[in-house]
Order: sequence, then structure tokens, then C-alpha cells
Amino acid sequence: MQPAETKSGSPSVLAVECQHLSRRFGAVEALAGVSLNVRRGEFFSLLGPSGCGKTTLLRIIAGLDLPDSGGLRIGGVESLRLPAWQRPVNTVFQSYALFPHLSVSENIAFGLRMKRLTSHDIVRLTSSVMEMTQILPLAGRHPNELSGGQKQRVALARAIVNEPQVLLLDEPLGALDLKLRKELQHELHQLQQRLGITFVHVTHDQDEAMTMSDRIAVMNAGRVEQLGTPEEIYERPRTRFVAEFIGACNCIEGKFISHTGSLVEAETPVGRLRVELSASGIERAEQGKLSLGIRPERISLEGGRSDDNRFIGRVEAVTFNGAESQYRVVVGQSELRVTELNTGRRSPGLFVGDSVEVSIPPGNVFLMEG
Amino acid sequence: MSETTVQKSARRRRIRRTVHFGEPMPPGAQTFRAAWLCGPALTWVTVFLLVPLVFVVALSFAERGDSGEIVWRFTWENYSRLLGNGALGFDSVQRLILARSVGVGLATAAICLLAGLPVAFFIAGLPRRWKSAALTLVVIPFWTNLLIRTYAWQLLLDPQGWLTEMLATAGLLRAGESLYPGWPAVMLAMVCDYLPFMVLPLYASVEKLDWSLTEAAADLGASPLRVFWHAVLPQIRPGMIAGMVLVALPATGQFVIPDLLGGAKIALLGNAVQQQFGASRDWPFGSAIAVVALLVMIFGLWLHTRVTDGRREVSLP
Repeated sequence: MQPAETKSGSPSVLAVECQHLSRRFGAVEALAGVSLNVRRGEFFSLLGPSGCGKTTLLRIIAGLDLPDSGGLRIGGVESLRLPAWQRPVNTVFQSYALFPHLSVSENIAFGLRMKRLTSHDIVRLTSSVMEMTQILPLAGRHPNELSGGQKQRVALARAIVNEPQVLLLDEPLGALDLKLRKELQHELHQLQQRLGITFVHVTHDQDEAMTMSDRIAVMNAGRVEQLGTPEEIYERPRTRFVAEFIGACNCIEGKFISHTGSLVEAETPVGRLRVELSASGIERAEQGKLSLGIRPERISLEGGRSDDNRFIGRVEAVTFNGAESQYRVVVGQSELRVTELNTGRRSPGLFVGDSVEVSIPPGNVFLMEG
Repeated sequence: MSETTVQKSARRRRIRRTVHFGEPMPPGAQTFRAAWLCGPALTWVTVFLLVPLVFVVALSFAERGDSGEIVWRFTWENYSRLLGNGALGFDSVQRLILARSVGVGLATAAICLLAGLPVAFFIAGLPRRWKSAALTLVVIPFWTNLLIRTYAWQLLLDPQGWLTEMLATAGLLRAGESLYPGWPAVMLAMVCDYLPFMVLPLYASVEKLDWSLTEAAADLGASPLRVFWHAVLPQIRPGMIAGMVLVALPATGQFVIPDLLGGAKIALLGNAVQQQFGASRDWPFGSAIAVVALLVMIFGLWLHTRVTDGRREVSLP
């Protein structure tokens, strides 16, 4: 896909390599053998619900925690034995962890001072990074005089001024309000593109992960459920957990009946459903049980194409959300969630109790494991 | 818009901080009641501290009569004696005592700080249920009277005692040498006596330590030593200063320990005062020493507030 990938094998392509990392906290298994690679220069997100182990993984990469077993290489160098202060990574902490006794510029200069740079260089680098993150006017302030968004920027500047090989971000936008979060998401993405530093970003916010990341590792209960680009993860979720954690999903259990070409026919609570699957998907489907999923916005209530699966359903509930409306439609023995854009074409709209034609394109249904 | 509401609620909170038990009251009335409730404490302090203090200050400018009585005639002589103008020409003893007292106070505080830091960190790191037990152990010496503890040191450090013999056998003491009476015994007892005053405030600030800052410092490339210096020390500084003040000031005025363990050779301010009020029957001169001791301590406290306030001033933009 990317030219860098063809050269894999040369360690310089990989910024972080985690091999079977495990970590227990008493009875809780925070990491259950996690292996993943982060490519150089990519925006990589660890996404999952709280307690899924994503922060533990980040802290292990930073050197703030040690795994019980497993291996870790940063920039191709075996790093588990290195203490945090000798690793070429910097962290933006969730709590920001700004030094309260130091001013903004002193906070940012901290890493450079630890590297014993000359004061001339320190001033030059600090002010250029403050300019980049638009906090130059705050240089003399102290952390307790900053707003949440400003603290976030300072924490970011304090980390990137050191030009780490990998920047670790632990829910960096978690404490901010929605509008500011959207704004900073954009800025963070821009910054990453400009600097070319590898970002490893921990979040539980699927929107945030989707909009910013090149690749996402969806984690659950100490394991990586799926790793891929936002499109891959949304379009072809591997497990039910991923499908339901990222976006909404109508999950349907089905029984295999037959297949012709790439079309598989299955018996489901909705009715007979034709599903377009890949070769490997068909192979799995032939084993009998199918776990199928379809996104609410991929179902049409306005009449689809002739090769769609078509059913007659009854509207059970309508929720108006402005730009879109959500419907619950009973089809066969199951209830489907459907999202329709309010384009204004359907003038009277749908009401509870209405009978409606439901179209499900075979290509929009995906097959999940288990 | 939202900022102004935040400011407003902050201001409201500040007003509410006066004594208030739920019923609406105009702010003036609240202040009045607060003052009224302070009455007993205020009376106590006035009668038993302020009045005697004024008396001592006045006394320090009086003269000693021939047979030790107080003659109420104004004179600077007591203070001039303190500066070294003795009856027999220049006499540096009083200034030496002053310097020695301040030195002992500072040395005790410094040793207590070095000894107390590991203790504070150790206790703060203990599991919750062990913490209170450990803190009780720190305070246990207070359950015994100071005099008894000091006499216990005499026994323990006795030149013919087993400890002295052991140290001599180990080659740490030469024959005929002993820790008591003398400086080693005095400092040993001083540090042991004042250590809790250092450990408790230190522990309080170590307990509140924000460890995420130490992680941040390490993450930014600080070695363990520099993490301590740049991320831990600034956080526990208030506890360190409080401990230094709590130890240095009373240690400077200590008189029982130097008297009992110093072998009458080591006189501090407290001993000088005691001697003037006791054996010498020179209350005016004793008062002058007491006043100077008080000034020294006030100076120490002033220095402490300046150091802490100065920090805050620098931190403002």
C-alpha cells in the first residue's frame, strides 16, 4: 500500500514493535500478549473502552511500567531494559502533569535542559515550538493560570520540543469540551503531518480515533481485537465487539443455505438474506453459522436497487436528530436500526406504525468472527 | 461569558468562607460573631503571653540592684553587655553563646532533615493500615518526659557504659574518650528529640506528592537524581521548610539537653537565660537575653515567610 511497507524487514520502518506483551495487576490481566507494530511517521491510535489495557501499553512503551513478559523495540532498538529517561519517546499525559512551580516556557524547556543544551539553543527551540503551538503569549504564565485547552497545548509543546522518535499521547483531549476537542483534533493531526513524528495515541473516543489516525488498534480486555485503517475497521469489523464499539451495528445471526458465485444465501431472523462475501468469507460461511452485521445507514427505506434484499417492515420508533433520523423497524422476527439522512425528499416522513420497504444491498453486509 | 460566571462563583465562595452555620446573616454580623467566638483564646493569649512578654521587654531595660532586686531605672546596659561590653572590658561570651545556639539549631534541623526524608518516604510508601502504626512509632518518644529521656541518654552514653565500651572495642573511640558528656551526646539527643517535628510535616507533603510529575520528569529525560531534584524537591519544599522551622527554632532555645549532656561546658541561649534568672539573680540581663533570643527566632520566621512568599511572587507573570 505504502512504499515504506514493501521494505518491511528493515527495522527502520518500524517505530515501535511490541511482542507478546503481558501485564497483570493482581487478578486483572491488563495486557494478554499484545503484539503490534507501529510504522515510522504514522498516526497510530489505541482505541478501546476504559480498562482495556491501552494506557498500560502506552506506559510500557514510555518506560513508566514494565511488562511481566514480552519484548519491546523502539526504532529497532531493544528497549525494555532502558529506563524511561533514556528512551527516545515523550509523553503527553492525560492529566498534563505540568510542573506547577515552573512557568510555561520553563516547562517546555525542561527536556532540553535535561539534555544539557546551551541556553541559546534552549531559548531558540522553546520559542519556535511555542510559536508553532500558538502559546507564545503564555510563556511567562504558570500552569495554574491556564485553561484546560492551554494546558493541553503546553503539554504537547513540552513533549514535541524534544523531537522524540515517538510521541505518546494518553487521552490528550479527554478533559476538554466537545468544541475544543474537535478544534484540537484537527490541529493535532496537522501538527503530526508537519513534524512527521510517529504518534501513538490512546483514546476511548471512536470519532477521535477515526478522524485522526492512519491506523487503529481496537483493544478489548487486554487484547487487540482488530488492527487496520479506519476504513477497514469500519467497513469490515472483524468481531462483534469492534462492530459495536465503532459506530452502530445491526448484528444478525444466520444459517448458511447456499452460495452462487460470491453471493451467499443465509436464513436469518430478518428473513432470507443474500450476502456478498470474499472467498475466505464464503469458506467460513460454509461451516454453517454466520455472524452478520450491517450499519444502520447502509439500510435503505426509500427503495433500493433491484438486486437488494427487500423486506416489508413496520416502523416501531422514530428519533429525529436534525440532519438524520433514526428508525427502529421490525422486519421478520428482528428489529433493525436504520439511519436516514433528512434530505427533505420524503415530505410526509415516516411515522410509528407505518409499513415500509426495507432494502439491504448484499454488498453492505459484513461477516464477523464468532 | 462562562469565564465571568466562574469568577462570580469564585467570589461568592470567598465571601462564604467566614464562619457561617447555615442561617442568612449580613457579612458584618458574621465577622462580629467570629470575633466573639475568638474571645476565650484571645483572653488567654493576652493574659498569659502578651502581658508577660511586655513585662520581660520592660524588664530588659531595667537595672539589677546590688542584692539581685529589680531597679526600675531605664538603661541600655543589659544590651551593651550582650554585645560584649563586660564589666571587665571586652567579653565575647554572650555573643559566642548566641552564635553557638543558632549553629546548634541549624545543625539539628539539617541533620533531622537528612534523617527524616527517607523516613517520610518510607512511611508514605507503606500500605494504608501500616501508615498510622508507623506514624505512632514516630511520635512514641513524646510519651516519655524530656527530662527522663535525657537522663536515659546519660545512662546509655555513660563513659563506663556498655555502648562506650563497645565503640572503644570497635576502635571508634580512643581510650578515655566518650560521647557523653560533650557535643556528640548533645547533638544525638537533640536530633532524636526533634526528629518527629521534621518527619511529620515532611510526611504530610510526601503523602500529597503528585507522582505524575516525577513520571513526566523521567519521561523528559531526567535521571533519577534529577527527578528528585526537579520534580520531588519543589513539591515537598513546604514540608521541608515547615520542618526546618519547627526544629531549628525550639532547638536554638533548648536548655535541658545541653545542660544535662554537655557537661556544663556547652551553654546555649536557654542556659544563659536560666542562669541569669536562677543562680545569678540578674533578671534584667536574663530578660535582655530572652528578648534577643526572641528577635533571633522572629528573624528566622521572617526569613521563612520571605523565602516562601518570594517564591510565589516570582511565579506570577
